[in-house]
Amino acid sequence: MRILVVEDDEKIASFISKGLKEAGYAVDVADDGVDGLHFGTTEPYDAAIIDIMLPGLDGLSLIERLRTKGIKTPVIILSAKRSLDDRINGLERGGDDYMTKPFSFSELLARIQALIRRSASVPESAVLGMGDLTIDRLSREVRRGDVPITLPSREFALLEHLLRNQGRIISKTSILEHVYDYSFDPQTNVVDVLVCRLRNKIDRDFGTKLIHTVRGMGYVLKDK
Amino acid sequence: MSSKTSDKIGLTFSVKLSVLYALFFVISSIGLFLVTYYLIHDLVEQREREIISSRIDEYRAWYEEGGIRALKTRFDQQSASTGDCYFVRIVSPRGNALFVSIPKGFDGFDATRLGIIQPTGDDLWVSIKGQAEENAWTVGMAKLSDDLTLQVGKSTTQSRELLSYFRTIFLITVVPILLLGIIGGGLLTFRAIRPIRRLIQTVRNILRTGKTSTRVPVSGGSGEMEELVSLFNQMLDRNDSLIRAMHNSLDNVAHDLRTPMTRLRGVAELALQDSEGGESCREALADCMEESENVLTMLNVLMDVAEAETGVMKLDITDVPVRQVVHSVIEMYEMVAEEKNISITEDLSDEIIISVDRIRFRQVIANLLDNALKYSSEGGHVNISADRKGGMVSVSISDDGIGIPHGEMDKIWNRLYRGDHSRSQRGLGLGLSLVRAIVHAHGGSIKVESEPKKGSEFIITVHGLSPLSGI
Repeated sequence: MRILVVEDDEKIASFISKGLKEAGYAVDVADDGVDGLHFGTTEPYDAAIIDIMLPGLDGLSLIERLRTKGIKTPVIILSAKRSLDDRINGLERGGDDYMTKPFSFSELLARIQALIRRSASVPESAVLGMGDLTIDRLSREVRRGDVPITLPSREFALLEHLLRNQGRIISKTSILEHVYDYSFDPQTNVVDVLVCRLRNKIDRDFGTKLIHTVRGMGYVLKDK
Repeated sequence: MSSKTSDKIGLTFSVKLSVLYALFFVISSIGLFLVTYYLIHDLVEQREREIISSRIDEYRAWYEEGGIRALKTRFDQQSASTGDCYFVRIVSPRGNALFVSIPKGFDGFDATRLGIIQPTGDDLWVSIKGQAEENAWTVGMAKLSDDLTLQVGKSTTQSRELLSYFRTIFLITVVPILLLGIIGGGLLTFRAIRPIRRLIQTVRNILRTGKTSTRVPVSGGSGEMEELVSLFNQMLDRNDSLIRAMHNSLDNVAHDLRTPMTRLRGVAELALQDSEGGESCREALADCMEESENVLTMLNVLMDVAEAETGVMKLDITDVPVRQVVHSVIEMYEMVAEEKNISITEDLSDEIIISVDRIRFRQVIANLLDNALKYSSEGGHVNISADRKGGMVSVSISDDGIGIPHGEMDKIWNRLYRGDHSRSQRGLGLGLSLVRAIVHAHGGSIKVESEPKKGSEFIITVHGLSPLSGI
C-alpha cells in the first residue's frame, strides 16, 4: 500500500509519514503542489493526503487536475479552515474526505483505511469482532464468548464505532460525532458516562478488559 | 498620491458641472433671443406690408377712377401735403414704365430691377437692398385692371434700425448673461457637491489618521446628497463597531488562551527537567494532550462567540419542531442525568415550530441543559417547556438546583465568568456567552430568573412559525 502526502509544513509532513510508515504503508512526500501533481500522475497510489494551502499549485486545484487526468486515488484534504462551506467546496472539487487541523493522527489513519477499504470496494461483513467479542450489525446481537449481551442503541453504536477502529485511539469528539451526531464539546462528561455504561456490560464481568482509556486522547478497543 | 487624484476628480467634476450649467444657460438665452427676434422681425415686416397694402388699395382706387392722369394728380397733391415718401410705379406688361415716382431717400434704389417681375397672384412682395448696407426697401406689387402692374415701395430702413438696435442690446447683454451663467453654475455646483467634499475630506482624514471615529458633518435637510452622507456615516458606524468587536474578541482570545498555554508550557517544562523519564514523562505527555485539547476547544468556542457576536456566523435557518431538537439533546444527556439521579421532563408540543439553525440551536439547548444538570443536586429535577406567543416561541429550561446568587446575575453572561459555586465543576465558563451570542445571532433574546437554593430558569425566545402561517 502506497500513500502520497502533499504538505508543505515539514514537521507535519514528517509526523504523518512517520506514522504511516509505522502502520505499514509506503509513503512519498511532496512539499509543493507541482511536485504533488508530478508524483500523483506518474505513480500509482492507494490514497493521497493533500493540504489545501500549498506553494506552486494549491491543493484543491491539484485534486482537480488529478481528477481530470482520470486518477481516482482517494484523497483526504487537510485544511486549517473548519467552516462547512470550505468542507463542501473541498469535497465538491474531488476530495473524498476532509480533515481540519489540528487533527489526531489516529483519526487520520482510521479515515485513510476507511477510504482504501471503500475504494477497494470490499463489502464490509455484517459481523464485527475482536477476541471473544462479536457483534452482528444486522441482527444487532452482541456476544462475549457464549454470553449474549443486550445493548441499548447508543451503546451499540459506540461499540460498533470502537470495533471498526479497533486498536486505534478514538477521541471523545469522534465518539460524539458518530454516536450523537453532535459536533461540539459538551462540558459535562457525556462520553465518559456512555463509555462507563458500555464497560459495565462488556468488560466488568469478564477477565480480559477490552476498552481502555488513554488519558488526554480518548479510548481504544484492544484485547491486550 | 491617492488624495491628489481624488482632489483632481472633485475639481474637474465641479468645473465640468459649472461649465455645463453656463453653457446651458447661454444657449437657452440665445434661443430665447432668437425666437423673440424673429417674432419682432415678422411683426415689423407685416406692419410694413399692411401700410403698403393700404397704399396700393388707395392708388388702385384712384387709377380705376381716372386712369394714370388722375392718379398722378392726386399723388402729387398728397405727397406735397403729407411729405410722404412712397415709391410708386406703374409698368406695362412689356416692362415699360408708364408712371414712376421715386421720392427722396431712395438713393441707390434700382427700379429697373422690378421691371421684369410679374405678380402672379393678387400681390407679390419683393425686398431690395441698396448699395449702402443700411438702405433697404420693400416693394408690393398688384395687378391693375388693364394688365398693368402697380408697384408701391417703402423704405424699411427704420425697421431695420430697430432690429439692429435690438441685436446690439443682445450682444451687450450676452456678456453679463455668460458671466451670470458661469457664476451661477459655479455657486450651484459648489453648494451641490459640498456634502461630497465633506465626504472626501472625512475619508481622507480617516485614511491619514486611522481614526475611525470621524464622521461626515451632517448639514440637515433632505435629498440624495444628505442621504448619501447619512448612509456613509451609518456604514462607518457599522465598520467601527465591527472593528471594535473584532479587536475585543482578539484581545479576549489572547487573554483566555494564555492560561491553558501557561499550564501546557509548565507541564512540558517540568517533564523536560525531570531526568528520570519513563512513567512520569508519559504522565506529562498525557497532561499536555489534555491541555492542548482544552486550548483547541476553547479556541473553537471563542471563534464561535466572536462570529456570532459580530454577526458573521453563518446560520442555516430552517423550520423545525422544537420537540425534535430538544429531544435529541435530552437523549444525549439522559445517562448523565441518570447517573446523578436527576429527572428530566419535557412539556413540548409537536406543533410548535421554530425557525433556527438546527445545529446551533441544538448547541444552545445542550449548553443550557448541561448547566442545569451541573448545578442540580442529586434527586433534582429539570424541566424543558415551550410556549408560543404570536410569531415568537419561548423555550424554558428550569432546574431546582443551587440557583444564582443575586449579585452574580449580571455576570453570568460574561465570558469566562464562573461563579464561586461552579469552580469545582468542569467547564470553560464560555457556555453562557456562547448561548447568548448564538441566540442573539438568531435575532432572539435570552433571560434568566433565579432564586438561590431554589433553582434557575433560562428562557430563550426565538422566531417561530405562527400557527396561522403554518401549512
